[in-house]
Amino acid sequence: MRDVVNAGARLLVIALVAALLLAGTNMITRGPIAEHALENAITARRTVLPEADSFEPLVWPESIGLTMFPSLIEAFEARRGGELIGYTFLFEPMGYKDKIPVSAGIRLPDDPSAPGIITGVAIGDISETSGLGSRVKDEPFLSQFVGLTADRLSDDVNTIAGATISSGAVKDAVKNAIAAFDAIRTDAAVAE
Amino acid sequence: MADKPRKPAALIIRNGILDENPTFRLVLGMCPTLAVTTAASNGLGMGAATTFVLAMSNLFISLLRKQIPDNIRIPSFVVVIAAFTTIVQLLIKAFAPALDAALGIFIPLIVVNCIVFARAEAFAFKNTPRDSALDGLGMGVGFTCALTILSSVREILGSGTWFGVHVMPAGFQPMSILTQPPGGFLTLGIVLALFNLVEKRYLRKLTAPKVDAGHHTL
Amino acid sequence: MKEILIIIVNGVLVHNFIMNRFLGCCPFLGVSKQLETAVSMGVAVTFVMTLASMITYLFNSLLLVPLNMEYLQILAFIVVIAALVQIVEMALRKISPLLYRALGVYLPLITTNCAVLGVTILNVTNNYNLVQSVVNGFAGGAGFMLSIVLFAGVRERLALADMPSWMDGFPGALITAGLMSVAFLGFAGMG
Repeated sequence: MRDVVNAGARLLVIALVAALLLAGTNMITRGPIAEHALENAITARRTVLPEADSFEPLVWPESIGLTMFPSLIEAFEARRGGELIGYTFLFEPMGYKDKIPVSAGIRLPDDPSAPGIITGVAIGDISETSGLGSRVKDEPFLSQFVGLTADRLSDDVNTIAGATISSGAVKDAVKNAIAAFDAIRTDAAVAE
Repeated sequence: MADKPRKPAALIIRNGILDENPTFRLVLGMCPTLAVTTAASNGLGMGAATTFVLAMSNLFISLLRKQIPDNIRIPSFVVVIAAFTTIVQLLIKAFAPALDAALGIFIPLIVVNCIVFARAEAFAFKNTPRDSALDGLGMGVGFTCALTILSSVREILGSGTWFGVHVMPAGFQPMSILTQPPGGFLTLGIVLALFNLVEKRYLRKLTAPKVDAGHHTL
Repeated sequence: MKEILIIIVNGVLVHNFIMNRFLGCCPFLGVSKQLETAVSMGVAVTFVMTLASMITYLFNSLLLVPLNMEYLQILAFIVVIAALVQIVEMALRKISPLLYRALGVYLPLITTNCAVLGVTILNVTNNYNLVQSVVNGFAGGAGFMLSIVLFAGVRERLALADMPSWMDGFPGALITAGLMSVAFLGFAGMG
């Protein structure tokens, strides 16, 4: 009995010291991890909508069900000189191996009745197969999206040969971004 | 311990890299070996992370070996190894986020890497802290070398690049199957076969008899 | 319901734990020389993976997340799994000596099986709820069992083949596994 208590106590001490050590490491690394995530998000927003000078988190309209966009992580209003010029969205669809963080920027067209224009698409840190799925991060694939409207997305964006799943996931995410954009726009029009 | 003859450091480290190379000789720690070796940088990163955990857990288990009764040694190893795995995971997340995304789940899984466990049990629990840390370092470097070799083969032939830089002539058509899951099994199988072949033909007399790979079930 | 079905197809075929995710390769290569032992190992792993998914989910969502101590996940999960395996082993010995004789030897090996810890971490990263976690654990185990049983069947035949000595053992087994894995590539994109 004594042995059991003794052994248990020793194990407990080891576990406690380990937990304390981890709490300490967590305190050191928590800052940089959060900072990195924030920085990534800011850079992604700037790349996908370079014309904007400030971004504000979008208050998601209650009338639009969030269940419509299950992989939507966040949405921002992009402004220039205080004026609303478009929106950026972060989606995390499932790729071939893991989730792919896809940021997309969509600009409000000058003509209010025209469809929104894609200003840019950016991909965060991914774990797709290198040489195949990892190519969704590359310029030739991403630059195809710039300047397109929803109706031309299917025809004008080619998926990457050998990486149909990864590039298809990105394409679907951009489609969803446009759908979200349209939903927000309709909602705003109704509100007025 | 000072009066005991010390094993030269170079010998202990050599053992991990050559004589008992965890991947090529002991065939341990197959999951990360097969999974993350799609690009040379991932192989190197995974190797470095594992080396850190191996050396640190070996050192601390050896330091604690007189305080740990035999019957709780397995749970104690688990706690120590898990602690260092978490530390390395948090550090990578904070200071090398791209590596974190590329290696994903295989960083936390260092905790169940058979090499770490096997060295704690077979070496660190019986040897001095200095020798144990060196053993962990040697094993880690051996593992890193193996991962880097495998991932270089897979990256060069599978995507025509090495550490992300194009190295193959323009007309080269990458064999993309090698960067996909089957490529892990195939590359390791072929490299092991070549090792066996070379050893049988040329090195039979030079090296110690092949270690029985029976521990792999750990 | 549809989501549950996707998780099952995903775990068993598309992202098969061995063939696609490389989780649980040690027992896959080590305990696959005979069909019978492979089946026992598969059953034991599936059982532990399902239970571990449930318990670590509860542990994580009721304790670690409310306390803001997610950094203890790895430590907590592996301790929970080790304890769970121990309890299952003791319980099995008391309740069903027959089953214990069949699975007993494999149970201690399961603690260090990456498939078990892997599935519990995947449940967290995928934000699965309790039901999804348990289904994912079961599907992952079933996928593991499928691969190891198929592989053992091939290896039993292969043992009779006359291979050059430098291909015998691990190299031959790995290349066989590679060819099996090619077949599993065909499921890509289904999930």
